[in-house]
Amino acid sequence: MSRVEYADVSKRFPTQDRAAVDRLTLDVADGEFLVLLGPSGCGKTTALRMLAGLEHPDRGDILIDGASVIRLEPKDRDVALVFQSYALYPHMSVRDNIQYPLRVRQLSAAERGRKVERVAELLGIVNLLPRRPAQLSGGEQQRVALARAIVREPRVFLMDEPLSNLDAKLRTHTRTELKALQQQLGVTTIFVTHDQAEAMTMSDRIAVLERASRWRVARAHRRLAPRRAARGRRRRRPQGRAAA
Amino acid sequence: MTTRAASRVTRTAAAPRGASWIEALAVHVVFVLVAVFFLVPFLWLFTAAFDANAEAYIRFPAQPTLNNFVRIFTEHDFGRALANSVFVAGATMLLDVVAVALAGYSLSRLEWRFKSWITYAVLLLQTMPLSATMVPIYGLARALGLRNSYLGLILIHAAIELPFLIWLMKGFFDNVPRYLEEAAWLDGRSKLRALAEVVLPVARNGIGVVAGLSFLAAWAEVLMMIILIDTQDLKTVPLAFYEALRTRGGYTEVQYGIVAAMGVLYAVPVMAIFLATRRMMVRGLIATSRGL
Ligand SMILES: Nc1ncnc2c1ncn2[C@@H]1O[C@H](COP(=O)(O)OP(=O)(O)OP(=O)(O)O)[C@@H](O)[C@H]1O
Ligand SMILES: [Mg+2]
Repeated sequence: MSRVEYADVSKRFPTQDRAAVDRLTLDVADGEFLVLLGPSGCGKTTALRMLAGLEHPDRGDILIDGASVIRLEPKDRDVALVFQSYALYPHMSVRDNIQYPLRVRQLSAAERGRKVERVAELLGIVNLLPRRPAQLSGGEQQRVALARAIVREPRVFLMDEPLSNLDAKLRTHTRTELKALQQQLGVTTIFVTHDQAEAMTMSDRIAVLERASRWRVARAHRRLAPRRAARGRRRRRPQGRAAA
Repeated sequence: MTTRAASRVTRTAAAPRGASWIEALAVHVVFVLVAVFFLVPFLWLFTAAFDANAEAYIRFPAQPTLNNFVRIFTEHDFGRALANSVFVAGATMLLDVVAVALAGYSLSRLEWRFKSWITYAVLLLQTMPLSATMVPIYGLARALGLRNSYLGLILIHAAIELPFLIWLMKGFFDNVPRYLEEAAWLDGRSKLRALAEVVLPVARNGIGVVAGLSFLAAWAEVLMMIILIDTQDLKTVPLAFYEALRTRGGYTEVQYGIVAAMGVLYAVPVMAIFLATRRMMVRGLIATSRGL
């Protein structure tokens, strides 16, 4: 449970001449479910990766609970990320993939087993536990990636299009489950999607990023930031205009 | 996946669809000739080793005997040479695997000043002929007290292969997607443990190739053995050969049976290692990251 702040954060990759993220200012309240919406290439993944510690911002600061994290190693930020590319460990079974973060935290085998069973059930992947990632379909891999993130209770969930590969029915179902879980755990969540229906149904707030340019991001920010979504989880307040 | 791809390749090479039978025959004849060319020395090795009066040409032993094998152990102290060789090659392999894993990872992933310069400098080292550095190595080893010591043999053999193996391993690491280790960091692992638990297992074919090649290189190397070792205690297999060839003061009266028996025992462990690890080696050398 934590408040997340991006304070005037910019990032340009050395090979690009345009900034991937340009002066992003965004404030995510404790326990809030924020959806990031925006066209491909507008810097959503980069924004998440900077919070996770996988990219270093050129300027600006990123804070969790009021403390700057930009000098912390990824392992010390206590943030869980569902990668757009899943990033499952190919040499481990699905079960070992999901319990890897728990093993790192030195939970007992019994407790690991219990938690893995619970998320596997939640996501409908119990029968996949003994398999290797290479033996799964894209949608199945995606659910395993999601399971590995939600099996622990980090300060922040970062989800980069975590439902993009699921069929319509499964997607609706997983949305509901995920939202319920997030409300139950109260973990601050930043969720990237291209799907407007998804954005509407899941979010407490929606932030629209447009092509990374200063004033547009600022505008999105101005519209969204003043309304501090205090305990937004009690009441869904989808708002903002989705970039068509 | 790999097997299917491999068999497809073989089929295309041997008998391309629509090719005439003459072409297929020609391909097979060439293959057989090449195979024979490479196998003849082994044929000699295995016939001569069991022949009491072996000669420098191939003939099947009139009375097959194990006497040559008994004699190399009783008269030539071959047991010690084998043990020394196994120890030196094994330790070289371990040292190389550790050094190559760290150096290859660094060149593949970390950002530091002059990295590309150093990367190419490493490759340049590999192009230096070993014989050109023989004299300085000798002098250095003597000054440092590394002659006639296991440590000297191991360090130098490990160093000889290092540049090439580092480049090889860098290639394997380049094929491991970055997001895998990033996922491990976010799961709470330090960079070093993420390397050990995620990157290395995923690049294990590369580690297999590095281990195999460094063992073989140290196992088969002769020049450094000759200039660094002159005591019986540290004698390795190549030096045992050398001695066996020189018996009775000159090269004229070579005891072919003895040399062949040593040769068999020298070659067999290598073949065993190859057979045991061939899948890893083949997959690694094809450098495919599929079917991990
Ligand atoms: N490692 C990198 N090196 C160079 N440029 C990069 C790198 N990663 C991202 N970019 C560039 O930064 C910009 C933003 O990329 P990013 O991946 O954050 O977009 P995104 O909003 O996540 O898009 P999508 O919806 O397609 O996932 C793009 O123009 C991209 O080409
Ligand atoms: Mg993205």
